[in-house]
Amino acid sequence: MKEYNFFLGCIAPNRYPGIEASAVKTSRKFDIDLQDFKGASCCPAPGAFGSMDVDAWIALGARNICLSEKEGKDIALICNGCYKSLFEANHRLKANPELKEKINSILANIDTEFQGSIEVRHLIDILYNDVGTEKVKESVEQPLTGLNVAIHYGCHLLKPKFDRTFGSSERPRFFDELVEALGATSVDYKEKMMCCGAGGGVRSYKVDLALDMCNEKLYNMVQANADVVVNVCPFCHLQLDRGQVEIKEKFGDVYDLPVLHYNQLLGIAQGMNPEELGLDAHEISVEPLLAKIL
Amino acid sequence: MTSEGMRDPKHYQLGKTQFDPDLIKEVEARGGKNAQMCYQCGTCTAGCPMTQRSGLRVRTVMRKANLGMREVLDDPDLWLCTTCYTCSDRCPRRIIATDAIIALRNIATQEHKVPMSMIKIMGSIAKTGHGVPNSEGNMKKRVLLGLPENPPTTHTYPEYIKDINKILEVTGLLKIKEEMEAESQ
Repeated sequence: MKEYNFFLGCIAPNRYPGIEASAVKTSRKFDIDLQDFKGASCCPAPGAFGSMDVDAWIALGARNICLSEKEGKDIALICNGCYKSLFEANHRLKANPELKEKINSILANIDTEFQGSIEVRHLIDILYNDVGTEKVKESVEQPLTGLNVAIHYGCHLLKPKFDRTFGSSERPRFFDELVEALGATSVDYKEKMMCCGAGGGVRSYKVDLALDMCNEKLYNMVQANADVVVNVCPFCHLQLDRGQVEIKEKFGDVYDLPVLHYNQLLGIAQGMNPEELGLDAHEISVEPLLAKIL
Repeated sequence: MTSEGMRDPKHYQLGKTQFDPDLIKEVEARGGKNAQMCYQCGTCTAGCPMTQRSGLRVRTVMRKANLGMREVLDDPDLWLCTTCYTCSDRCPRRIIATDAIIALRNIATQEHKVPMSMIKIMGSIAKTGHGVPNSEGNMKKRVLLGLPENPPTTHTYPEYIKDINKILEVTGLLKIKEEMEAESQ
């Protein structure tokens, strides 16, 4: 059993707890134990916080990393925003001794020192590179045959590519392969790699513009006959799910396109029931999707 | 060029526009690596998903930063970048334009030109440890899933919040927050 400190962030535990629960339950099937990470905070939000002060953003991210260093455990997480904050803080501090000295001088005020002794991994990275698509496929009890999935990678999983390990940010494949391992079809759609519009603090600053971008993505997904949009980021998830309610109110456009985090889709394929995956808590009903596959 | 502009050799003026040669150096020092290498090809603006629906033009931001036009710090469109990094991954000069924009935002924050929406998120983190804190409705959802009402974060262990505030204090952010909150009242 490989143990990780499970970094929750904010949106998953505090808005979509089904994402948190499904990550823990589906990972057990692969002997991955996502454990309580005591005292962790917001990563902090890279768009809003990094925009105010990059050093403070790295120092607050490093505070989270250092808590896990003390326990000697690697961090696993399920949000692209958290990934940007913690992966980049960890990577930059390990690679740049000057920055490490500067941040450690800030952390000295809370009797903490960044060591550089652990890794920060996105669960999708662990599933693809450590578990592998074959084992993911073997865990399937309810194949998702005939389900058209519009995959939304999310920007901060892949970009900036010089600071990531996934290769191409224009035409990546690994997430598609993980969806196809469940028996579903990944549909191609226009501007597939486009941003959901929520990041950079824009959703809280000018929500209409953030939603306008999301509207374009949803339109393109529906045009490609998608039954569901699947993501690996609770903030993109919120923008795509709750955003549809707001888009309907503000612009009158209706899609009723269900939104799932990959761990929830994996849970369905592994035979779990929708309630234990928290699917009933979504703004957009997932019933049409369940009717198609169950 | 006015005579006023001529007096300070580091600070030039043309009409009403000021040019500060130190601005681009500050952008680079704050993480906008190689920003001076920009040759204005426009690949950034062409691929930016915000360009077609707003006034944000990344190429223009890069030009103004390079010319030292500090007025870019007052531009409300500076805050419309979703930090998707598409421009950065496509830049033929390998400039991370998104990080240059973030650097400009950091400088603007020092001058109290940051939107209050960002300050509010900081306030929430200072108070609870979370940018998006838990809610009563969500607690019920958590319990139905077999999870504790609160996650094992600062919500369950609030004693960790003082460390977060200490970092906000020593980096000067808490002071900016307090001053801006006072100014906005």
